[in-house]
Amino acid sequence: MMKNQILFNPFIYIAGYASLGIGIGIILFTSFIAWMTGTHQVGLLQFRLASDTKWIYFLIDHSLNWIIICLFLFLSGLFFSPSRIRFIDIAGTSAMSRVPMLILPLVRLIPAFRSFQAGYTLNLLVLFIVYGVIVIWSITLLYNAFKVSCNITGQKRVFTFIGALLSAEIITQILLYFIYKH
Amino acid sequence: MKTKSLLLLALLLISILSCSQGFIKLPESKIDSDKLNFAQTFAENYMNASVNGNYYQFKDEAIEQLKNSLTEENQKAVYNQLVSQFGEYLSMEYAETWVDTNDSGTTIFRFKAKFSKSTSVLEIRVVINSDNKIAGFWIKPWSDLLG
Repeated sequence: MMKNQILFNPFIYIAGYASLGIGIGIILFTSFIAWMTGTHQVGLLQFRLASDTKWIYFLIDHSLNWIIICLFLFLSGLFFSPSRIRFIDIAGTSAMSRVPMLILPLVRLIPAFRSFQAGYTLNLLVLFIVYGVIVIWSITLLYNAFKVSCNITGQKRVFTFIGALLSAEIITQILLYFIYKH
Repeated sequence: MKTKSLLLLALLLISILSCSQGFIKLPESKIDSDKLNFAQTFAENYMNASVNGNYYQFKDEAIEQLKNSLTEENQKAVYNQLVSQFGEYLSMEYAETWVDTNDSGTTIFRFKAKFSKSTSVLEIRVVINSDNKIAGFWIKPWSDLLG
């Protein structure tokens, strides 16, 4: 039970500035490994494999998605929560929800996943499966972060969370498109 | 016991993954430096000619189909399109070499190229056939996946 809580809802133990510090550390470290291995994060739902640009762009991939999700969750909390919510809690817990995002760049440190043939290869299939697990884990963490930080209950919580997540995903993808266009 | 089995399974999976490809990436030690020099010299000369507003004049270093498709007009049109999208060509550096596992003698040399307006590097790909002739030449956005 305790193990499950640490994996899926660590925010009952860590929140506020502590989670923000840990979260920012994770984002920086993930961006660095992503740059080393050429693993771009396009929003929350897509990845692209290319060792093609400077570290700063990999940092943008990760931090932009976090900032936008964080803003949308905060706005949802402001409008729908009956309690007073703190931005720092949402910023910290949503940053910490990005822990699973470190896994894909780490997997790509294995030579068989660094640079390989495109198409229906087993390597790519393994990466997709790993990424599927990462996305589910990350969304679960994000949902629990939202639950702990915003105190919205029932169906309203589910729908506001889905709305915020989808809006953030669309905005992130649009912004990344323009950033990478040139 | 469980950990050992998992490790063995992981090793087996990685071995299968490494062997399951039609092309494999060569380690630095196994690269034919003469072939690499040939490919790199061709790519650099081609790009420099384009930058200077000229075109690359093929002799007998490439197969006929490639020579026929990369005419003066086509070379200039392709470069102008690159300039409008990514800016002027600046430089290139060697990235990796792949060989066909089916023993066809085909070697793929991949170079990373910088263009003035692009934040991302592009790929310049030169394919050499078993007769040591250039059989393919592409410029496209870089991907870690050999597509």
